[in-house]
Amino acid sequence: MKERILVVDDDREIVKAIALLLEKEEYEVLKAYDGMQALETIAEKQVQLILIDVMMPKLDGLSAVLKIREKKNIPIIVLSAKSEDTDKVLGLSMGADDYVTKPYHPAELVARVKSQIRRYTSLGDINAPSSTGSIVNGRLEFSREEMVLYADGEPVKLTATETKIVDLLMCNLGRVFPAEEIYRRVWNEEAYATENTVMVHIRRIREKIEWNPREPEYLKVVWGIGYKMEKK
Amino acid sequence: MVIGVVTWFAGMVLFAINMFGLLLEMVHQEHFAEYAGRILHGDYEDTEEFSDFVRYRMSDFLAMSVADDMEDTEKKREAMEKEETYGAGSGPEDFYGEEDWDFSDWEDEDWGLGDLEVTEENAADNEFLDHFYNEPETGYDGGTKYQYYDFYADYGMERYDVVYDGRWNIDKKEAGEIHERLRFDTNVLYRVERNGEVLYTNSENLGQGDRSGIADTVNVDENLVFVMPEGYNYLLYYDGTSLKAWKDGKETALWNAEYEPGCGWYIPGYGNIPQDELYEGSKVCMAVAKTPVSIVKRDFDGSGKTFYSNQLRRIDLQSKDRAAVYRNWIYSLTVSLICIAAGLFLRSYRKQACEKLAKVTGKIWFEIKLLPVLAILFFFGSGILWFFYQIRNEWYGWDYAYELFGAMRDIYLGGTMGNVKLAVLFAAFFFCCGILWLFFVNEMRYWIKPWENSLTGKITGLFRTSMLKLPISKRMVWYGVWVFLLGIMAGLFWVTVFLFRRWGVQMLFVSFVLLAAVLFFQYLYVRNMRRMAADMDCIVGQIEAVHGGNLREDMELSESSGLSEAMEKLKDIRNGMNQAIEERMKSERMKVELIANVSHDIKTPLTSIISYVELLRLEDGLPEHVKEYVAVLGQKSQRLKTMVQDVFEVSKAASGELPVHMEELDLCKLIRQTMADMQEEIASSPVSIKCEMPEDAVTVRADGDRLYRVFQNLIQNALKYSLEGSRIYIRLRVEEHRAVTDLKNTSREELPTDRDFTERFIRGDKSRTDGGSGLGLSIAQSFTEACGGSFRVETIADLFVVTVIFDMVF
Repeated sequence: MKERILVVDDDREIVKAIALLLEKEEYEVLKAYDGMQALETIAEKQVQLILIDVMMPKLDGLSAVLKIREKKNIPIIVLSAKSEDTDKVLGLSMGADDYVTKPYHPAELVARVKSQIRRYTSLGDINAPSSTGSIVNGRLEFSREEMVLYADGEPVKLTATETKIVDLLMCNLGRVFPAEEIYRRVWNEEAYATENTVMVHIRRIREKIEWNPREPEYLKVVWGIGYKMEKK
Repeated sequence: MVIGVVTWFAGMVLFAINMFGLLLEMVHQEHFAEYAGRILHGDYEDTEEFSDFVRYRMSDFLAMSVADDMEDTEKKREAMEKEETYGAGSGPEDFYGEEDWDFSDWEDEDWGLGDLEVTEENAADNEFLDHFYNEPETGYDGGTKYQYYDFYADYGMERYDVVYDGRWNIDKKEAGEIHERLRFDTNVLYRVERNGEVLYTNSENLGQGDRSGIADTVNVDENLVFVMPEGYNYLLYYDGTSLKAWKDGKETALWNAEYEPGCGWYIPGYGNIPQDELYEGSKVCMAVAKTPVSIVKRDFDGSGKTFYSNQLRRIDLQSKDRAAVYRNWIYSLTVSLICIAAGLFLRSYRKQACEKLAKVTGKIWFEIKLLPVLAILFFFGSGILWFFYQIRNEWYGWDYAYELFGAMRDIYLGGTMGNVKLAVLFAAFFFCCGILWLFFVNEMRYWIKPWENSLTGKITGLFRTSMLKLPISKRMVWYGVWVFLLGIMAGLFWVTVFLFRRWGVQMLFVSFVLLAAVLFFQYLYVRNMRRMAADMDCIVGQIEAVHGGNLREDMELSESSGLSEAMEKLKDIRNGMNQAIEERMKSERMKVELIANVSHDIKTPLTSIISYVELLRLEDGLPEHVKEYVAVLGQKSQRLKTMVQDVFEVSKAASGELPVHMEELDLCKLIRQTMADMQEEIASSPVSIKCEMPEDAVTVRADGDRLYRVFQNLIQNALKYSLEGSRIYIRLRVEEHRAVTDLKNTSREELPTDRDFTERFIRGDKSRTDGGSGLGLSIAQSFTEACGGSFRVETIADLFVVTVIFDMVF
């Protein structure tokens, strides 16, 4: 059966664009143009995901999220033109599962939607125990036995060096590694002018696992210090 | 109201003055009540002094009566002188002792006596007084008429010489001399008998049986009726064994007196003296005039000395005088009590009046109020000086200190200092106390500070205000000059004194006063200077606070400070700055708000554009040229998105609201990472980058993400505007604990010299067609500054140099 997604925004063109994008991905899309409508729709029909704008007439997005969270456990992605960190923190603490700033990258939005739906429908609980011997970090999963990295459940094709880097970083989530150390441990050679080499590999891995490689979520540069795998 | 106050005030003062005198008198007089009663009766024959007088006189007559029977008087006298049993040591003072009356102020006496009229009758009094008061004109030596008075003058001999073993020891010759002197004293008529023979008398008619001119009779006993001559009412009769007295025909008694050796009289059978067989044959009668007259004046012994005898007259006058004083006290106390009672009765009015009075007296200068204090101090000072003088010279140390009360009484009753009655001083003292109460207690009671309204204060106030009109520099100079001049004057004074060796007590005192004055003014000067210095410190502190950006804290100067005006102006400047900065901050905030709103409003349609471009891109079967258009749309909309974001962040950074997460990081590594991150762009550009950095880590404190944006923008900028084939030089070096990074590139276009490249939306050319947002340098600058670094752009011909400087962390 098709997953049903509710898109809520007071800008009808945006709702329509998102609907078109999602329908291309074989989702069923319900539309609402303010918070009240959204609540009514949810009361009438089963939805698997809600995309909701913040600033809307009648009932704003965050209040709607609060109301929905009183009854439902469905994933909610907040769409907002507000890009401040504080706005993001506020939205997430209100009960949203994800926060996407406008103007969003269409592909990224679709990827996020997919991720949330998969987690909600197939995996169910975020904290469900993963298969043994693998390291789970958000939507990434690294199996040390197979030496394979899964992103959104799909295996990612990595070269041998990239796999070694991913192995190092996934085993030490959150720890910052200077380029020299990564080089020493991956290439097993004394480090010299390593920044470029390491950076090239990091960028390639990013392109394979991140939705938007320009604004990475997992593989991050800590400027002036090193690189790390963000712990989710 | 006024009556209430005046009566109260007058009553209190009057009461105090009279009570003081009365208390002194009460301490002084042993039998005060009896004494006062008799004195007030007004009869001089009732006084203690009168009793003493007749006792002495009777004793003298007794001695005369037995003069014939005395043998070896000379021998006894010599023996006495050797043994010094009596007399010589105790001196004449003890002879009459306290009973010495001070007659010194008859002339001025106004205690009710009134002036003595110069009549025939009292002409002698006046003459006597003249002689008594005025120093002999011719002096002590060689004067032909040396006039003096003493209490022995009545006898013309040194009395103590004749005292021996209680008895009077005089021989017949001396007795005759005494008789010669006394017989002119008509105030006392006497007859001295010895074994029935009349030895001495000054009145042939005095005696029994003489009834001519009978005025009165006294029945001495059943055998003897004594006829009193006219004008005489007091009779003393010694019958050989005892002394009896009659007054106005009735038997009366003398004041009690105990005999003690050396007391000056000896009457066997009287008081505590046992009978003496020697005197048994003596019979003496004495009649005393009712109203004594003066004066007996005569050159008795032909030596040129004039003697006076008017003791009784003096006693009479003095007792009247004393009675007048006592009456005066009674009247005064009565009046004062009435006044006090009236004051009490009117006390509700008195309170109002006191309040009004306090307001009135409050306007009086403090200096004037101090006058009574000075007066009291003077009074006490002279009193203490007198006291010490008395202790040293009169009382032989402390042995006779109890004399103080007597002396004070005497002063109170009659002492003079020059022409000023000392009693007036006492009155003035109490009056001053009253005035003090009015000036201080009364004013304080109504919350008026007596010292507030002072002439000195006014003068100094005037002086100060006139000084305050001068500019501070002149004022400081003036203060200094004054202290300097005073010091010089003091110095000159001391030098003079030293040169002329005039060190007396007065000079010493003046020196001390001068020294105190100099020190006081120096102290004032130093205090003034210190305050001024503190004020200057304060102003400097304020300037530094303003300079340091603290625009709120206020430092306070003292009110009267000469710098307060400057301080006020400084505060004005500060407030102006504060206001300007606040307004700027406000406008910046508004700008940020505006930009935030605008960017938000732009973002919404931009979202649609991007979304539909994406949808278009996903559309299959579009002709090739349409796909090209779509690609352009996609690129431009992405750029628009970046620009909106950049504008937002730059404006935030400019208003200081950009959140930064400061951490310690290695600047070398950050630049290498940035370059690695931009490797593709660098590789695809027609320029190359030369990098020069120290091997060691250069640790600075900054926000890594922001700093990355800084260098990303700088490198992008350099790549974009560099001449093809040229090189970009990035150099990081450490200078004086600062990490200095400069980035040089050769511009493709000619660089304008008059442009601030860090201004928003500024680029090398104005056409804005080359794809840059114009915000790169602006972002770089504002982010650098947000992280605490400094950012500088300069152009040297075609060379474009950007310098980023951070303080290093160790």
